[in-house]
Amino acid sequence: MAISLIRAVILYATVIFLIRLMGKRQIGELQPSELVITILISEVASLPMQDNSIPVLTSVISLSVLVSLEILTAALSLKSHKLRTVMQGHPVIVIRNGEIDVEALKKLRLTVNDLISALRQKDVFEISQVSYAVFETNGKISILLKPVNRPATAEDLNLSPEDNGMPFAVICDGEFNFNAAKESKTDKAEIERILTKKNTKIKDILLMTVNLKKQSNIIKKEKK
Amino acid sequence: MKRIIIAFAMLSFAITAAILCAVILDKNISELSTEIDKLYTKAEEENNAEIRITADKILDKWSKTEKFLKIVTMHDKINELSKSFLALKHFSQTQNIEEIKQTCAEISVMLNILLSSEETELSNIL
Repeated sequence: MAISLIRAVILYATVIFLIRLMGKRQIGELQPSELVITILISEVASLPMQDNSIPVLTSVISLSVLVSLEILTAALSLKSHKLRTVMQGHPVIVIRNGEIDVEALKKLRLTVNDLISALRQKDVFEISQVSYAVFETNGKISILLKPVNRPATAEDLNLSPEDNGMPFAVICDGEFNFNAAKESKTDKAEIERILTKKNTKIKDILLMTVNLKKQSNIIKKEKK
Repeated sequence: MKRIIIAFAMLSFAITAAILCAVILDKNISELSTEIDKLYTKAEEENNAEIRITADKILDKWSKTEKFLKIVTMHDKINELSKSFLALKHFSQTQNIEEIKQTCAEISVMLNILLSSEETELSNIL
């Protein structure tokens, strides 16, 4: 039992390290090669956990090789367009000016129903409104609506709203976040000054966001 | 860039480890096979004093090799070998010549199979 426990800890640490090494791209939208590597990692790591007669080292070596190759291939893909196409495929246009490209759908082995479903998931219910629809290499669809069907932008309405920048969470659950403060070009002293004016303290705040214009939004913790 | 360096380092480590393991495995198993062959010859000569010394030497060598082998190969194969080595120890203590010869032959076959299964050959890869 102790052997299984120690093996599980070793493999957990290895897998976490390798997944972190692969980067955040892995967690979000997976490219085909990344999906394969993720499945392989879970398979290879689970084998020595289930069977104590399999050496952990062989599993660790296999995992390291898989992740190393994935990282190196990804790095090479950035430099070579051909390799990128081989590893990831290329985006395919499936709708042009409101008309479905049936040949492209056949190549992707998708039905019209699959396409309509993908459009619905993007809140598009009428194909004629679509200027272009592209199936990306990660299996998601990107849609460009016809100009008349696009939501009006501030520019369309001749408005020029102020850019306040992104609000950064400088306090989360009573804890000050120095990185967020740096991003929002503020510091702890300034935040404390704002809070003093509002008669409160960092530890009493559930969430405080600050944008580049120093506009803040404060949500206090509920008192027990 | 840091990631690529780590990936390169890991890949280099994996390749080095694979080569080193193959070399160490080959060396240790070849040495053990040679010793087993010597023991077999001594058993045929019925040289009882030498049988015991050689058997002890072999068991000593095996106990060291076993630890390494368990890190790099399937434990089932090693456990089978360990069983045979323990039997060899018992037979060498009781001076059972026929059993010693038979166990030596068994161990020799198992070591050869183990070595051939770990060799970098197309048949093993596929």
